[in-house]
Amino acid sequence: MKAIGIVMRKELYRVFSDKKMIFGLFIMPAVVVIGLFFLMGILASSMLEDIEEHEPTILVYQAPESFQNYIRSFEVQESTGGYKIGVTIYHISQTEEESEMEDGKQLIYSGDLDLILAFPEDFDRQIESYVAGGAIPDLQTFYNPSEDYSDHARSEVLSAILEAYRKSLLEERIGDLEQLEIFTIDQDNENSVIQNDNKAQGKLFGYMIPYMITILLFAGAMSLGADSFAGEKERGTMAALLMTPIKRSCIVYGKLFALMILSGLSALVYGGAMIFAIPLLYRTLGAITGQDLSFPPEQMFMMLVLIVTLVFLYVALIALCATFAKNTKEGSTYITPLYMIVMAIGVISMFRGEEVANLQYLIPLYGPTMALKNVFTFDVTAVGFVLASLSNLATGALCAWLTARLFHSEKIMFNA
Amino acid sequence: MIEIQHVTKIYKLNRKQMEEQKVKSNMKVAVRDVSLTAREGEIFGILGPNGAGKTTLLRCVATLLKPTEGQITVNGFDTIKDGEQVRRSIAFLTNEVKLDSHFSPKYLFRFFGRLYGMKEEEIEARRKELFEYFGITNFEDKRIEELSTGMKQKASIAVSLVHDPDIIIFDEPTNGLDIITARAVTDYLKILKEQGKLVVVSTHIMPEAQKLCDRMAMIINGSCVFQGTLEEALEQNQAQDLEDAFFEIYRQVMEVEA
Repeated sequence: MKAIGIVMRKELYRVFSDKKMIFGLFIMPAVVVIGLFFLMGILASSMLEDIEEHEPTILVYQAPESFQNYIRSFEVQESTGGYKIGVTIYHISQTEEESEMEDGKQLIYSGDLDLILAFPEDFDRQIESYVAGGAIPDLQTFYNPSEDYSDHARSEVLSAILEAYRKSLLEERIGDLEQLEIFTIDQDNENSVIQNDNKAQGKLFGYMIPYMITILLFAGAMSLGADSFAGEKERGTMAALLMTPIKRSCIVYGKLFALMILSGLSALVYGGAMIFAIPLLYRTLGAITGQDLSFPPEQMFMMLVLIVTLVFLYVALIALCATFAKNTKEGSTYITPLYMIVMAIGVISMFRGEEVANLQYLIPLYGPTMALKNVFTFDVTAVGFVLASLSNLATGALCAWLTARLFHSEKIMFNA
Repeated sequence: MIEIQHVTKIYKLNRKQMEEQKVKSNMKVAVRDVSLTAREGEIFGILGPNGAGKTTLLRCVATLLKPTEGQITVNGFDTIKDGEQVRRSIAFLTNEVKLDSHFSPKYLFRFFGRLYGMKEEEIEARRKELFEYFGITNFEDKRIEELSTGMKQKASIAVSLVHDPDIIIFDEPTNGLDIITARAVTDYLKILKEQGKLVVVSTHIMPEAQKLCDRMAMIINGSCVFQGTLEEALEQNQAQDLEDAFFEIYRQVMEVEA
């Protein structure tokens, strides 16, 4: 046991006495994550602002009298001649010529016009002569969804202009709109939502966090594992360790525990940076999540146990793969397919429901990842949690045992 | 004491290795039926050209490789069954066993001392003794990667001797060293011998072996073709020096194999 500690301390010292490694493992990821999210926030908000500030250009074909009157009721900007409807200024032009509308379609295609509203020829007459059960006129819109301005203009025009215009016509026809509404929903009910807030928050985070945690834990251990096992073989320093009288399993466990600590710390840095950066992104976008993740102690305990045992499994798997390799490069190549599997399981966990049979928690990698997700959504059972933790420990121990066996193979260790 | 009894080591080659070595068989006999005994208080030389099987034989003694046939005991411990006891009683230095270049000689000396179960004060006393002898003290806190070849070799020797072993096995210990460092190393091997320890040295430098070794074994193509003292080697081959004796033996072996 003492030898395990000695090997572990040496592995940790190797990393913590190397400024480059500290920077690469702990500082750079935090800077990159925060910087990236901050940049994303700034770019996204400036893009949204740009769209919001854009003054849409609209061509109205065969505008009926009622629509022209409706539009005229809005304030006209003297400088630009646009109509101020809500907070947006719309530049509305009209035509009766079909050829002009066809030209307008070309302009929409090229992004020079945002929207065409095409009324049928006798729109007003159709409205006035409507009898119950008769045909109703169809207003057509033409826009370009791949152009942000055009897409935004259509949705704004539909909600801010056409919906109000339709209501005004409806009011003329019926008089009292409440006749149509019949009843309202939750108009005076502020307490409509009855939910476990923690579960709601957990559901939100449950999609993302287990995936992120598993990926980050694995990524943190990947390069270090390749170096610690395959790299030492490549440099010839493993032979020096093997020449000491300690058990080979002590070398393996010393390295594994050091890797666990390092990948845990690395994931903590990533996670911390993301927790700091995600609200930064939301805040920059002008929206506040309004949700703070709070967990009862038992949930925290389950999460901690699952993460620690999962780290053990990951580093043991990485060690097993890296031990087969002759050098760090080969080690990284052997570990990559494993990384893909972990990522795939993380993605599956994002989209699978909470319903997991207890025995499924035993499936290596998959079960514990699902358990981690279900801890967030408060759906994991005590049995499921125990089985998932045991799955991690058993599979991890098996991999560690196999790695220790490989350490006795001269073919593997010395290519002899 | 090291007793090697009828040891054969056969490597299984994979396809790539067969192509590299341009051989058709996937079996390569590196050591063939070697038997020898080396005792306390002597410097025993394993002599032979590069690729003769010297390092393989020594790696078998050091428990890094398992003999395909035969048995090796070190101080009565079997290298396969009692590997940990064997490693506790030997120091093994070879080009393939390297010190991690990230650490300083001082750190590594302590690290390996602890792995041998030594107390801190024992490690410290031993460090002072060896570092002073090999002149390591001045650069004991520098990283191995910053050291010259000679400095690295001195540090490797000192670290390998941290646990004051009974048996010292050095594979080509003066290889690549300047004349002063090489002399410091060979002088220290003599001191170890005077302390009653068994020193096994492999080398292809015959003048060095002539000065250093009390007894020797010559390995050619994996087989032990001579075992005895310097005098016996010279007498049997009517040679003036060990180099001539070695070439005579080498010529005879080649004639037989042809």
